[in-house]
Amino acid sequence: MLFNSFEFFVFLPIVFLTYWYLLRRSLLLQNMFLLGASYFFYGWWDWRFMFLLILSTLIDYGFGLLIYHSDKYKKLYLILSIINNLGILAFFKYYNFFAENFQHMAHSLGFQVQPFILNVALPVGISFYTFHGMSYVFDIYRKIIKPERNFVNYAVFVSFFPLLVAGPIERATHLLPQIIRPRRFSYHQAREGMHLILWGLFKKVVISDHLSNFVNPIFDHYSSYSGSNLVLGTIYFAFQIYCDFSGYSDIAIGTAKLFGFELLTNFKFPYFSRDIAEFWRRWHISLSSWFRDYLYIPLGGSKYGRWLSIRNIFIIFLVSGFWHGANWTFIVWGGIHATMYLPIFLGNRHRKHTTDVIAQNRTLPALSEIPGVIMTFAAACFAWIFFRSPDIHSAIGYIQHIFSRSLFTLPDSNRLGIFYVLLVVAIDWVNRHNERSTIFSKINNQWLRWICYLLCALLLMTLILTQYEQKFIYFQF
Amino acid sequence: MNKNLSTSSFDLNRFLIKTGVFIAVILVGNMVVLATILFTPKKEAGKEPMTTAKVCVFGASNVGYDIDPDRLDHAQILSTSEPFGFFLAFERCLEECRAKVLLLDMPYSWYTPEKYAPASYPFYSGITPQSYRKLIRKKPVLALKNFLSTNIFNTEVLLFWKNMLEAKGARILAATPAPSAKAKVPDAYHTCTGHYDPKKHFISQMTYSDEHLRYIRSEIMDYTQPRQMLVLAKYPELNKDNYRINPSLAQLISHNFEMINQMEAWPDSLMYDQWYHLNQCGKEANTKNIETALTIKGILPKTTGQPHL
Repeated sequence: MLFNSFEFFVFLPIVFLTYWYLLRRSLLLQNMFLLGASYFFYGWWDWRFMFLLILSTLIDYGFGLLIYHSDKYKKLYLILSIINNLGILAFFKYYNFFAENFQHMAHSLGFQVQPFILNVALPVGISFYTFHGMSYVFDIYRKIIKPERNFVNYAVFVSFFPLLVAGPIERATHLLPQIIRPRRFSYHQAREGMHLILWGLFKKVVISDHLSNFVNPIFDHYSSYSGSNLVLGTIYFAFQIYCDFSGYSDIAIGTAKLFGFELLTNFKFPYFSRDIAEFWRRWHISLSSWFRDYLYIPLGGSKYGRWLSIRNIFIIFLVSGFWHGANWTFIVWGGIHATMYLPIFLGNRHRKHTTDVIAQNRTLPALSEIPGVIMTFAAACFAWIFFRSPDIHSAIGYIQHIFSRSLFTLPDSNRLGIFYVLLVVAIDWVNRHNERSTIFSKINNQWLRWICYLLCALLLMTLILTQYEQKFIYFQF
Repeated sequence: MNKNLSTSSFDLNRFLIKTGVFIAVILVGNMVVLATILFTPKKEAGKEPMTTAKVCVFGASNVGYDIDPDRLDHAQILSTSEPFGFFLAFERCLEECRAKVLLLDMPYSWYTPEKYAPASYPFYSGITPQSYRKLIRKKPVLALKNFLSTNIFNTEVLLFWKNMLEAKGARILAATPAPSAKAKVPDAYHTCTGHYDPKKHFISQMTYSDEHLRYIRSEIMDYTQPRQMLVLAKYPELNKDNYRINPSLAQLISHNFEMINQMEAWPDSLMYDQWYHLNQCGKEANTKNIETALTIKGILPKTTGQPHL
């Protein structure tokens, strides 16, 4: 079920009213109901893969208990759990990639091999729920948390429907305590939730889906477009994917708020970053912090000398790229980011902007901040070309076509997209000091705020019901 | 705990009341907008039903662009104008069809109710309180979607009102005017030296699938069987790039319908402004093809026209 679908707007009120009106006196019943609703939400897409989700949940639940109660074999159980989670991922997501690359390699060495190719759909959200399970097991192994004995509670942590298919990637330390303790309805929390849902849908349905109409033909037929149009296409894609994914995250966080949960923040206005290190503290935060905590730090982080640090940085960026999909384009995307991050790291400037935002306590940015923002955005856009292109060859072709004489001409089409881009930039700019709230919270006049809700809701209803449902980009990951 | 629950209950009621008021405002607004559309007298524009027609050619904008009705005697050309939606438009068109043969001129796509944009201009221009009641009975989800999307932000609603105010006449379902009748058609359309650029016009996805075609077939049969009509079909007019993306399309369509032609790509020189619209030369060739095929089937009387493809 998609957040931007008619079905979801039937599903959500039913679940909300049942949860708060019929079941609010029993935490167990509330959690059981949430679990059932989450499985229904997931099964709406393809009920067969629901069993994979249940199996994965059961296995991690079991390994959590085994690791906690065993001193002698806890490492073995941890390894088995990792093998299980990565095995599921490898089978469904990466098997064909490895098989095809093995075939190419063998062919280049003069051998003819025909590996078995799987013809199975990639289960939606597999990269997200396996990472939930892994973080839970790691945290038990590191004695950060105790295992959850109640299976329903644990299963809700893995399968909670707002974050099931595209995150944010939650931690057991953050979400499980909220599942275990009784929840009470808070008007202000629910109102914030509705704001986030409305704003998230606006970003997805109005901005991202419209930009995709410009982006898709440009990337599909890049050789027909001028260099300046290709630059515009790249900028549009940067905002398309940002609005798509941050829109999804906002809807997920907002929906969770309606049920009394607070999820992790996933985006903090990444295109206002002044360097690439800041960009990664603001883009898909739940994934980058996951890799930091469960991969970078266990590998030694930056403790063991310069060369090992460089190795570790490349590992997390390449793995992060590979996590997005079984394609060399994603690996190159990760590699580009690692290469851009490295000079900042080696110059010890990677912790320069950890708490402040651009134009902190000012209306406009300082002149010294502007070059950094532009260069970071340009670098991110360059990497997005690889992310969006179907293969490396197309990405290189796209870049070659950018650097042609037509780069210095005015874009001859698709200029309307600039309006959408500027709209997002303007709203994010106004709201940049508070990533947990939306632009609606900035409107103090109640009547004006209600008019904004109304206009936004009417626009969304029209677009959602009269256009084709466009999937969220991150569903494929 | 009890105190918490009562605070929570107060908060919940407050939230629900405010949300309820918000939803009520939206629904009342939609009802007002829909009522103005339903009760606006619809003007009739387009051809009167042809009592002498031997065949009704039904399609989307492709029939308006790709068939010359003046050259195809004994045929009534019926168009939904856009490929959005099928059954409503089909019902409307068949009301006007008096022939015993229906030729389905497949556009590049037709949408099922699930994918149908329920708020399209042809829909608003033709819908009446009676047909809306029928819609609620037959396709309640579609009717609900239509109701929810009928608001002042809907460009189709605005277009409907604009045309009503300008007294342009609304009933465009039947017999969409051919492009030659429009003042804005450039000379290149008539001289067949158009600006069509196949690279920029790709159908990203053709919505015909086996399931979809079976759906269309069953909808058609619902209407045509009681009238004892013969149903024939014709492949879409697409160029080679757009045919290539769906190689099994021919098999899928012919599996569901009796075809009057072979599936062959149209040359770019005969395409006009879209991947599924032909220029004047293409239109003449296509009209000749249809005429010949229907003559061979014995539906139209013999003529001297030669097929193009």
